[in-house]
Amino acid sequence: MLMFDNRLQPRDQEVAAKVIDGEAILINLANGVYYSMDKVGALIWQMIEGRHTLGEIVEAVRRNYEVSSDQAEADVQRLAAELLQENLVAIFEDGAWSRVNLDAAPERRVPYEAPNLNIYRDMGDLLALDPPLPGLGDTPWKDPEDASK
Amino acid sequence: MMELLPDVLSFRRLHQTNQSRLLASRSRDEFLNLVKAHLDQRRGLRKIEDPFRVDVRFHRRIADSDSCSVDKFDFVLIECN
Repeated sequence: MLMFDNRLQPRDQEVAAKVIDGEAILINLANGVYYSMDKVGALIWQMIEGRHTLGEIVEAVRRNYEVSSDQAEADVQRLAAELLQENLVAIFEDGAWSRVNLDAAPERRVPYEAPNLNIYRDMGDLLALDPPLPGLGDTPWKDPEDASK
Repeated sequence: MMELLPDVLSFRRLHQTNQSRLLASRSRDEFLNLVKAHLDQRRGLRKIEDPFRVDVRFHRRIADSDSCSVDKFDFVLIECN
């Protein structure tokens, strides 16, 4: 069971992720399964990237959307568990993190839609055919002959 | 006798000009944008009837007859929408 002082971190080596037009898009590079999270889900994802605790995420959701604390807690817990189950995130143990600035309260709270992790397995074969190599950053070529000298 | 393997075997060939190796971070970005475009199209938010725009410049007809014509395109720019 996840606690509210837990922090999650994206599994950057295997997962490509980006928020585009307010929607979080994630691809598991190991198996080609891709995911989307809209609105509240995208906010939660951005906060996970900022290594915020689940408690801080609940608070941010509650401050930005017309939702009760109980509902926000339940939804953040559920979504975090789904992300863990899909191997998109891991529990963050320690290290540095950059925080998303949430001190400024929004002008008004907007209507709430429960966050959903939409899972798409229809293009797994295609995306697994030649995806970006998991765990590989930009790597300059090193000639094997030079390396042996 | 022929037997089918249960799994598909695939290999990656790493060489000096692997784009996915040299430009790994850009490649990730491109895949994410493609997935987003695919989802938008599926939801009807984006129409990709003709995903390519072909901008032909310096078009010149270099041969013509009753049955066929041959056109020369000195410069063709193809752009994703």
